[in-house]
Amino acid sequence: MNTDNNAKTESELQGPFSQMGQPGALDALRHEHHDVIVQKARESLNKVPTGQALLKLLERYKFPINVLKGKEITYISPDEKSLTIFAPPEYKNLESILAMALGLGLRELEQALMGITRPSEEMDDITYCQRVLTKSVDITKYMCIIANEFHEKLNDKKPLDKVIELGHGDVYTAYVNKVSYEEFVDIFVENDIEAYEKSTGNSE
Amino acid sequence: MDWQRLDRKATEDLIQKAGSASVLFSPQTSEARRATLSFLDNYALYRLTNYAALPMISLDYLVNENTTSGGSVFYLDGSTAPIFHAIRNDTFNLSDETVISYVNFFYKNAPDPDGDIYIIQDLESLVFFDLLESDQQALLQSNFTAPQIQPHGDGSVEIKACLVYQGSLVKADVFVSKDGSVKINNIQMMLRSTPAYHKMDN
Repeated sequence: MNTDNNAKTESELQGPFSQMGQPGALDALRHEHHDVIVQKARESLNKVPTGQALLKLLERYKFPINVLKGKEITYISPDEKSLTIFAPPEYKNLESILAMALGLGLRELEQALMGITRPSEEMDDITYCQRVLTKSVDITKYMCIIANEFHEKLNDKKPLDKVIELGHGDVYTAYVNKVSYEEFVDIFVENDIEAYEKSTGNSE
Repeated sequence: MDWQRLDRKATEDLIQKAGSASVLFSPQTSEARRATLSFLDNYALYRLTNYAALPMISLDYLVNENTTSGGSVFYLDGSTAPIFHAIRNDTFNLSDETVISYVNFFYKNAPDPDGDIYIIQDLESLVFFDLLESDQQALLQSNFTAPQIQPHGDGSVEIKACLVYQGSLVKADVFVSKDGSVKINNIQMMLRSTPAYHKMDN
């Protein structure tokens, strides 16, 4: 098989999800501006208070950060010890979106430090779902906090637009209106179900 | 995009074909989907989604389904390179029926950093139309024109159309050459600053 825009062959790269953290596993997808992107994301995140707090975590624990090529800016923390950010080839004027991805990735690593680790297959169904919900609500709340700080303090609306694009507009409004945690969770779940129904056409 | 969900075996096969990125996916927690591309004969669009990742992660590929040609796979990494690679390795069907799909596919998979670009085929399908002020809706309704497609003798195609263009609504000429490159000229502003809206992942 020919993987023309992937430098490595499939035979040396097969493996489970957990191999992602191993050195070299994703070198073929590494973004050519890796270092610049990390630097720009850090500088931008450092402009808002919540970002500054999350960056202290990075300074203390020195989590490895990978930047891979991708269509959209997003992040993943597969091993809960390192962070991978996806970034498009052209990223000018997207520093605050990169910053939000970095900030949310750092928050997920902080969750693990607090014992809120990724749900595992060994968990019973209820515990599994509770863990997914706990982590998702927390990350979404941090998304709202960071987007709000960029908007209010720096007049940068791009992270807020991203929150709305992801379908969390109602959740953001709930955050700004300082609703109770229970109400925030209810709105989050309601939005999540709506998004699922729209994307699958499944409304039962 | 009309996606078809693939079974476990096909998902495993796609993970194997994903090269470096295979380490991001496992068959137990991932799903593969496939969509036909009207403008390519042998390549189809495949999407791998890992639902166990928080947030869940999806990567898209162009996969050559013609087994006699070696089955090349191109990861859609946000650059134009994989799109042009596939076009060079396949028959590129640029016609009245396929060109709008191609332009929208092109900017979806090689996105402009300044914002979305896509051709509006009709106002009913404009996802944020209901979010506009009533005077903006009226302005659009009176100025909207359906895409006018003009094939050229050299294999290129030109489209005069209304577009979502970097956060605005514009009229413009979209030129698609026979090698797949896309250029947008003669941009005329219709509506500056469109509202933010929930984008379904398609």
